[in-house]
Amino acid sequence: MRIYPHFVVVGFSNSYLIADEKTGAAVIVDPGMFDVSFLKLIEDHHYYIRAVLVTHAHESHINGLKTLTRIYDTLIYSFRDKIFDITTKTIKDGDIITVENLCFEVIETPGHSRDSVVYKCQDYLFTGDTLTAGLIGTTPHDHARKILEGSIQKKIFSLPDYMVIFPGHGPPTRLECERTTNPMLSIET
Amino acid sequence: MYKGVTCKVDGCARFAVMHRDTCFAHVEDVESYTEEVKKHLVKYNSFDEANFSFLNLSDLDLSEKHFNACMFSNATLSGCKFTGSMLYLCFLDGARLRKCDFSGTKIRWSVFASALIHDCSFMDSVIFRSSFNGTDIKNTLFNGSDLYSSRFIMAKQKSLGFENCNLLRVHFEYGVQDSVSFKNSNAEEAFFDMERIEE
Repeated sequence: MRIYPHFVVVGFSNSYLIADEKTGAAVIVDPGMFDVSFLKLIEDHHYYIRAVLVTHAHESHINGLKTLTRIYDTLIYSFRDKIFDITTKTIKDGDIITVENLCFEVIETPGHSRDSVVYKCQDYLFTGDTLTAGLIGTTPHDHARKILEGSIQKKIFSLPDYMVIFPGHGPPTRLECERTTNPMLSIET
Repeated sequence: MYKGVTCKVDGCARFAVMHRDTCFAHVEDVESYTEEVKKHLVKYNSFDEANFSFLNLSDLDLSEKHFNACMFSNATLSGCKFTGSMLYLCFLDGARLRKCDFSGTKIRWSVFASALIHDCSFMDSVIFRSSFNGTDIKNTLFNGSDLYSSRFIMAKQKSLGFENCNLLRVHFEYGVQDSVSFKNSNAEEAFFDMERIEE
């Protein structure tokens, strides 16, 4: 498995290309924009996009969907049943998405938005805006904030320390680092 | 991306180090293993998904080398020269870096979180989307560097130079800063703890 982070200039977000090197099947997490450099990255490695995983349907994470679906015949997985006018394959907590040798577990983490999910693939977490290096997602009100903190404590911080986090914005991090250096969370171990 | 082969010792969840099937704690002859790694590092110019975690390396010339998805987590690096090197998706979390020279490096998507960084130089470097959260940084210069979208959240910073830097979307919140210079840098485009700005 290979993971390629891709910086999205519009919205300053991160997209990720996750590829199964044996079969060439690949998955994109959060296509915030689908530009030529992203297309080149895929095509230069002879990958084919088999699935798109959306962590939440905010613009900076989905704006590339229309272009992407014109190029690749791919399934789109989201908590929502429709993004723009594209029908998605809806997901819920605990679902497993399998693409060749790639396997993603869906972890619902509402708070930043109702449709926020985290995808777990082997030792890697694609957290969208739920949890980023040293920060957590913004929330519309205090209740949502409590829900978000609860989601992170219960469903993310219960995972092993060595897990690597690939967030929707900013640099990657490791779960152990977030336990100790994320000031937004009251640490309960 | 680092494949993460787990240490063969039952119950150990750490990743195996380069050229061994155990983690560093379970390597039998640490001294000879360290020497083997040093020779390997000096001999080759490009390293892909190698695990150097917990190693103690000193006075190595690693300039102009490429490190792709390599792990230096909790390693101790002293007097090492990384000038002109490239670090892509590398993890140096919890590392102890003393008198290391990272000037002129290209550091992208890398993690220095919780590291101790004393008497180092990151001058004239490109440091893109990298995390220095929770670091203890002292007597270190970042002058002339492009730090776009990197983070220093909860970092303890003393005697640092961020002069003539691009600080666009750099996060410094919740840190402690003592004698930190932002001369000729776009500090207004970075994120600071509002209470500290008012001080």
